[in-house]
Amino acid sequence: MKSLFTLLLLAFSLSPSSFAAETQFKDSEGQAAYLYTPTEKPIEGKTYWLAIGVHGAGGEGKGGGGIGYWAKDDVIVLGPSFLQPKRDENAPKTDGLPLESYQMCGPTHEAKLKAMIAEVGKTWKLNPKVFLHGFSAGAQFVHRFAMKNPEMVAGVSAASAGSWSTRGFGEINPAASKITFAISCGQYDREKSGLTSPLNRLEWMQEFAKALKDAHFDVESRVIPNTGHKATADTMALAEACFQRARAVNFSRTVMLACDFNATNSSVVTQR
Amino acid sequence: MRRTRLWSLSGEPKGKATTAHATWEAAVGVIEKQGTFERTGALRLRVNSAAKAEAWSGTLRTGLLPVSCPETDVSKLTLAFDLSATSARAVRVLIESYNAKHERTGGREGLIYPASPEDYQRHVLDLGAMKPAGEGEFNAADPLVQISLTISDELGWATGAFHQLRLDNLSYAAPAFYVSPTGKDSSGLGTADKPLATINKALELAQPGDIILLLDGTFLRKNEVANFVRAGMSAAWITVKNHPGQKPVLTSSHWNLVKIGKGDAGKPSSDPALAYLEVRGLTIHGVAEEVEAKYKADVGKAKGSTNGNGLSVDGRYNTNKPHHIRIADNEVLQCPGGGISVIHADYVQVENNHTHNNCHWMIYAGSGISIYQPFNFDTTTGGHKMLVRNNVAHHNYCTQPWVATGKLSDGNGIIVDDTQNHQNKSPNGPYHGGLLVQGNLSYDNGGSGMHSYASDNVDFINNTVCNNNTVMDYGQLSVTACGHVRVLNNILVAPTDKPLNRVNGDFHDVLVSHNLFWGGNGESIAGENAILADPLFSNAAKGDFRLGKGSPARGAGGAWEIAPIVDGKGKARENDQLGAVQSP
Repeated sequence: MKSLFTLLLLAFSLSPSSFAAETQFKDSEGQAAYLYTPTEKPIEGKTYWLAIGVHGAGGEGKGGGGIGYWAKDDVIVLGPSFLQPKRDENAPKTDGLPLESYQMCGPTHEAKLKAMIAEVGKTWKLNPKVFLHGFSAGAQFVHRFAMKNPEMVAGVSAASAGSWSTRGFGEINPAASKITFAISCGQYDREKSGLTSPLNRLEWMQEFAKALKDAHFDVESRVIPNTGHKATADTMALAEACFQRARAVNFSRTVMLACDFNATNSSVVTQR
Repeated sequence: MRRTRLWSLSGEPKGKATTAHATWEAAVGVIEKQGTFERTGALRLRVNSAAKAEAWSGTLRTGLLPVSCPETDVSKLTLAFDLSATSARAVRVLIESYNAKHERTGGREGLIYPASPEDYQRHVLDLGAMKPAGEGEFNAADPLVQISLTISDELGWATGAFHQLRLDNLSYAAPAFYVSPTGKDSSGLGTADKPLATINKALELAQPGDIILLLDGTFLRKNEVANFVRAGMSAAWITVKNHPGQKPVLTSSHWNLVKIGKGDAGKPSSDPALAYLEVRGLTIHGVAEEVEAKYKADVGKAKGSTNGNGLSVDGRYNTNKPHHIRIADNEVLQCPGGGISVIHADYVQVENNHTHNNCHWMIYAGSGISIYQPFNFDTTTGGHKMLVRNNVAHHNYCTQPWVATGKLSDGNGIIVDDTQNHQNKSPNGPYHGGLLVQGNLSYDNGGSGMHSYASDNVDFINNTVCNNNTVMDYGQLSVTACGHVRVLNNILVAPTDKPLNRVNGDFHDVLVSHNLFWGGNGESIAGENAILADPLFSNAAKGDFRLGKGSPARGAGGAWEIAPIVDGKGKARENDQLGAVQSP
């Protein structure tokens, strides 16, 4: 088995993947996490963006939540794994999400991700803020993590979440208004994710987008046409555009120019 | 953040025999790295006007810069930058908006006044205070702006000379947070229609570049009303200021109403330095008037209610000390402790503040404005790194003995104190930068009007210092145990039982020149080119210290390179007059 695994790894490393290296490691709960890097080792003096892709319910971190292929140049991708809470089959189907669940960004999961970011930062010199992408349950986690930790997050791409931080399922944190958001949902993704969900996925996404805009957030919202509950190429394009936009915004959205002429004659920091 | 080639740059000459070149250059900007002499890059304009040039000008033009402005109210937009000029002469600043077709839609312009040659100073312009320039109206929503800085003979720049501007850390920003005493921290969003309730919440949320606007009303807190917790960046300062046209009032019985500094004696802080911060346009009103009724039992004790400072920059308990701070356009009054207190900091500008009726109850011998034991952020020597200009300080005095001596002390209008860093086991070592005290008005204070004690490299120029020493007898403008101090172009008026000035202690290299002296008990050091005459103020009894008709202070000033070009009200002035305040 070990030899087969080695062969698979070798085959993987020789394949024309867009990233140079996949590293698997165990997190504090013993779950497998995956790190995708443009090179085997950091280039000395180089600062990297850490993009974190979070899987949907029942998934795992392999593939970096669908963004592992972003790992090139100065981008590395982390794919953590979160356990779906086990259900008691005999219990009544209330289906409300426990606050400890990873969808709700429960404290254990929140702390686990922070620890993983810190761990990655020991080897790779990271930008002070990360980018988050998540689909479905992963979207719930990443946008709530951003609301709780706005100082750590540059941008959030959240697609097809079953619930958002309104209607008692979390709060919109004004401090997160500096974060670049892209949220989306499939045109036909009209099921409620749980029995107690007040709105279906599409309705809730649209309501949440309006709430963010009313709160002067930098948010792009999109209904993905002809799509149900899945991440399509359009979803990923939106996520990538959001990442590029987040990278461009170093300061708050209210700063139009911030020009510190530190660099060479023709390279000047500008804003947006 | 992106690094682009979106900037174009031109130096545009106007007038025969004038050349102007604009360049990007490394190592001519400000110093941002602590403990070094490494300068950053900057934009540089070089202008050469030949002796025969007439009506010349030179302009540094940035080219069209892409912006995306979330604010449509032009009055809320702010333009700021660091500028060094070869002469302390006015510079015209123009910002123009351009539409997507690169067509100019409008512009606004204003003047800035460098305080001294070859020193970088922070200049901030609110677009609402700038005048419309040219045709059309500045449109904040346009996708492009262009910024120009112009010098010319018309603005007082000498013809037949080489001139230079160096521009660094340019920013253009809209407000990020609104705060109102009637707002809510819990459900407020920090927007204009849903403001936050406390300044501290906004400071907690603020990131580099953010401008926090305070709305009308009284911000009353039991602890610090504004406690800075995070640094800005060199090109992205964090600013707390009044909403244009509004007058927020901060009050508290705590030790400091506005605090820039972490840690305390029992728990020093090793956090990153608080830096690139601005406090502007606030009314900081302490509780001195309430002491008799509410805090009488605290008098003589180490309590905030009787010792609270108005605005405190205090790096004593910080491994990484505060630097690059601007305190401007504030009124600081009725604080039981000091008015504006700057301790263990570097690169601080204190400008256009009105500080009065402070220090009455404190036991720590405070003053209206004090600069105490600055530290060396970088390794430069000389230059003016600390600036105190165009402030008005009056009726600051101490009624309680200083706890260190058991005697009354200080209560000065403005004091530069121990830059030699001899006292209290200061870890800073001698401060190598210079301090410029320029264009201030100081009267009816208990101690001296202005005072330099155990400090080096201090310039006092064009200040009006009048009728101080209501409690002490230090003199109006005194220099004690100092080296390399210049006292130039000032007006000193003293009551007949008080000294005019003193230069004493272990001093060296003190130049006193071109000052006007009037009154006093006969004790003074007149120095060179002194005038002994009544300055003929318009109405000193009512606080009008402008020079009246026939004043001997007119035309009597020396043409020093640091003579101010603007009066205390921001109006251009002639630089051959003595004192702080321009003629009517």
